[in-house]
Amino acid sequence: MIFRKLSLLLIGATLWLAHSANAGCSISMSDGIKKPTETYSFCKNTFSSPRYQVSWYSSIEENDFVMLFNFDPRKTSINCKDFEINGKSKSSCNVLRKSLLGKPKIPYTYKNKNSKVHMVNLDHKGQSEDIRESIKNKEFIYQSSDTIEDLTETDCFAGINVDDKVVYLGYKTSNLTSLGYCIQGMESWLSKNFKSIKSML
Amino acid sequence: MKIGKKIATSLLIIGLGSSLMAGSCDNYLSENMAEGITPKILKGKLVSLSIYAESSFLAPKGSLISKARRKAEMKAKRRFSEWLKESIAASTLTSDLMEQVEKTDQDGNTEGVAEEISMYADTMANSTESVLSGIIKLDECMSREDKTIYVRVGWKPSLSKMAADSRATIDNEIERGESGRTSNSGSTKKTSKITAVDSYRNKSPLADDF
Repeated sequence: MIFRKLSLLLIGATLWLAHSANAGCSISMSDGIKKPTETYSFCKNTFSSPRYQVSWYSSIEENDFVMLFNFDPRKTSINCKDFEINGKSKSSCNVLRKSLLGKPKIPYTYKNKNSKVHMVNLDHKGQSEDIRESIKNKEFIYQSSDTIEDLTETDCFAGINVDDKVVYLGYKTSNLTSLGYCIQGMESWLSKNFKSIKSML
Repeated sequence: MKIGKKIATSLLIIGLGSSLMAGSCDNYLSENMAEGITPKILKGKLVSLSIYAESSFLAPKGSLISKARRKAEMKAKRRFSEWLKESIAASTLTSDLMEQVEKTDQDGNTEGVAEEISMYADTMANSTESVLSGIIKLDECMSREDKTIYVRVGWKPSLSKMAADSRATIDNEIERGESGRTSNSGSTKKTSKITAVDSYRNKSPLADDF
């Protein structure tokens, strides 16, 4: 039991400390020619702000999964963990900067040299409506949800509009862990399609 | 010479490995569609329907994969239901189907066949619920690499009848149980550990009949 806890802590610490030199994602699979038994994924912000890191470890044989997500450490400072070990799940987030109402204080816009990142609160009707419209109008070169139905189910969104040079990151305050997954998906895509957003950097 | 052999072997292993790892649902996709619905018509008779759906998961986490599987199955059922309501019930498609049958049938029973198809269409459209209960899963493929799960479900006229008969039997048993005529003997609970894999494919032996 102690050994298991220690090994989990070790995995967690490794994921946390793992700092990829480049932005985007670095995914490595270990063992086996036929199929990998373990997957490590480390992602970091491609755009200079907001800063974030999403890392996960997935063991195929043990069915274990560990995910750690850190968002904007200097301002909002959100730290999330999402575990699934031996069929048991645990997911929680810790937010340092909160409003008087206890909600995370996330700025709406992060400005970069040639682009902006809009943080869209999906609980906010007006803000989420804009995203829904953009999905309908196919304005994104990348979008984490193909349909509005998917958007409702995933509790998060990541989309890139190259024409307007805007990145949209959608979140729900009740499920900030999901934002990490949408960011991971986007960064993974950016790693393979870096050229298409070069004008935004 | 030795070095050359070693390099060739390494390249072969790398090539083999990457081809095995790349797109682990390739076999499924070569046999099935990713999304859609296909009817199987033999000698002018509607034999079966296959409905295909896919769903993606955000991360290879067990609960997220299960959620995606449920979503894909629901998607397939919804697609089938919509198809019944919008396509089959629409008189235009019914007549299209009839026309198609008239053209393809070689047995000289054009009129009779057309009637049969339209009868199925009416029955299906009028009892969507009972039709949906007769849907079974035929094939499934999950790829961690692509973070996608594909499902194929099928419907046959006989399955709806079987489902309806089973439902009637179950209802009767429940009724009997509630009135105290039957009792439950101690049942043993079996537990099993689910082992995760990089990708898998579960094909039903019934799949080839659809």
